[in-house]
Amino acid sequence: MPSVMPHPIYRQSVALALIALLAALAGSQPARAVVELNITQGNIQALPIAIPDFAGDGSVDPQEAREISGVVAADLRSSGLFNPIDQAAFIEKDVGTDSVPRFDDWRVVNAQALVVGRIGSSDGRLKAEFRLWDVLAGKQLAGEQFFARAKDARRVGHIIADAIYERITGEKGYFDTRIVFVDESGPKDKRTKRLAIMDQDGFNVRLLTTGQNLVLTPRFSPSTQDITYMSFEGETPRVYLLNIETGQKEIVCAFPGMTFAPRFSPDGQRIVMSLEREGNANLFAMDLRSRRTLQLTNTNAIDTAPCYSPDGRQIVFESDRDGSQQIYVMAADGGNQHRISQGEGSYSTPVWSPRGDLIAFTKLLAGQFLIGVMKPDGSGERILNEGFHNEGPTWAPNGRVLMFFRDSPGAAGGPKLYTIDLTGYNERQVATPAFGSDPAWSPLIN
Amino acid sequence: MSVNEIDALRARIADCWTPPPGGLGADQIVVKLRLKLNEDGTLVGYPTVANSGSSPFFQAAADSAVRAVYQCQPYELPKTKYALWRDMILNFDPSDMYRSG
Repeated sequence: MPSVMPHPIYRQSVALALIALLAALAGSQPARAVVELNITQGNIQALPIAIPDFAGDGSVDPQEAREISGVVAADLRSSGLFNPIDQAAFIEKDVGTDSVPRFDDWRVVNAQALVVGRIGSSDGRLKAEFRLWDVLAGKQLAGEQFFARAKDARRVGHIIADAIYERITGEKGYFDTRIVFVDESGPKDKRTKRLAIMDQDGFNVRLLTTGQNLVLTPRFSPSTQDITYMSFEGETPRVYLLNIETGQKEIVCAFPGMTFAPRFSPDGQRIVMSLEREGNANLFAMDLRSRRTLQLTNTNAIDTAPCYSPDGRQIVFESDRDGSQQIYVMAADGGNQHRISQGEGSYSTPVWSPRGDLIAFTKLLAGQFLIGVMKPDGSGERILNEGFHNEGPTWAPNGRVLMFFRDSPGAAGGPKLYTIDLTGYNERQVATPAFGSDPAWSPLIN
Repeated sequence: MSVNEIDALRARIADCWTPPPGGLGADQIVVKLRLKLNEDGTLVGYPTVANSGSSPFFQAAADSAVRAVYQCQPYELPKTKYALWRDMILNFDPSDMYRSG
C-alpha cells in the first residue's frame, strides 16, 4: 500500500501527515501514525520571571545588592515583555548562585524563568555574578561573572538585565544606555532649556549647560563620550561638540551662517548638519579630523534633520523641495537623492533604525502629530501612536524601542519623554526632573 | 483523529505558547518539535527540536516552543486513539501573529 502524505492547504488549517502502512496480512505491525500540526497562534504575554533579591557576600551592604536586583526587575518590567513575580509569593528562599534551585517551588508560583545573583566587593570594585534558569525545563540559560567600578552599581543591574533580555528574546538589549535631552523648566512663556544626560531609566540626571542659551537637538557620538548639539550662544546659532567627561566644548565649524540639526556618522568620524544661508538650508558633512566639509545638497529649499544609515552609506533627511516637508534618502556623498515618503500629510525628523530595517519619523496629518515607521524604500508605513504633538523619535540601540516627546496643552503643560515598543504597545512616560524634549538615545555603553 | 480533536489540541498548545517578541527576521522562524506522549497525556522525556537555524532568534524561538509544550501537559486526548497521537511533530510558526510592517 502506498504511504499517503497530504500537504497543508493553507497556513491556518491543520496539517495532518499520516504515515499509515497497513499490511494486508494478519499479524503485521499495527499502523504507526505521526500527527503533524502547525501551531500558528500563541499569546503575546509578558514572561513571568522570578527575581529574588540578590545576595551580598558579606563584603557589601545587602541593601546595595537588593538595589541591583531592583534595577534588573524594573528594566525587564519596563520593556513590557517580562512580568516580575511578587516576591511575597516565593516559596524557596535564599537560593544561591552556587546551588541548583528547587524548580518545583518556582513552577508552583508560575515562574517560567528565575534570576539568581550575588554581589561582592574585591579591591574596591564590585564583583557581580548571576544565573538565569529556565524553570520549566530545569536548566541554566545563562550565567556570568564580571567586575565593575563601585560607582557603577546601577550599571551592573542594567548589564544583567540586558543579558537576560537577550537570552530570552533573542534581541540585543538596551538597558545599559543613556539619554541626552533638553531639560525644560520654568513658566511656559519663559522656559529655561538646558542640556541634560541621564540613564535610560531616569536615574543619575546631570545638567550639562547652564540654561543661559537656548539649546536644541543634542545627539550622541558612537563612543558615547561626545555630544553634538546646537546652541544660540554667540552671534550666530551654531553646532557644538561637547565632551561629557571633561566638559570641553568647541564649535564644530565656523560657517558664515546658522548651522543646526547635527548628527554623527556611525564611525564617529563625521558630523552631518544643515547650514542656512539666504533663506535656504543645505546639508553638509564635516570630517572631524581634517575639518574638511563636503556639501551634500544644493537646493532652494530647507534640507534638514539628516541621519546616517547604520552602515554609514546613506543619509535620510527632511526636505520641502517638493512644496511640503517630506523624507528623502541619498548616498552619503550626496548622490541619488530621492523621496521615500508617500502618504498624505507632511513628514519630518527621520531617524534610521540601528538595525537598518526601518526609518522612524514624525508625521503631521489633519492637525494630529503621529510617530510612525517606514521601510527605507518608503513602503510599509505604519503609525505607532497619535495625539497632541508627538515628535522627535529616537531609536534604542536594539532597534525595537523608540523614545519621543509629547507636549501637553495649557499654561501648566509641557513636553515629557515617552518610550514605545515597535509593535505600538507599552507606551510609558520616562521620569525627568521637570519637562523634557528632544531626546537622543546612546549606543550600549557596555 | 477528528478535526475537532485536532483543533482542541492546537488551541490548547496555542494557549500555552508565548513566542519570543519579534525582531529582524524573527517572524520567519519556524521551529519543528518532535515529541512523544504517554497514554495519560504527559510527555515522555523531552521534546526534541527537529530543525535548526542560524538566526540568533532561533534559540529563543526554540526555547519558547519547548516551554509551551512542557507547560501544557498533560494533554487530554482520546485514549482509544493513542496510537495516532503518541508521536507528534509540531511546527511553531509565528508569522501570522506579527503586525505587518
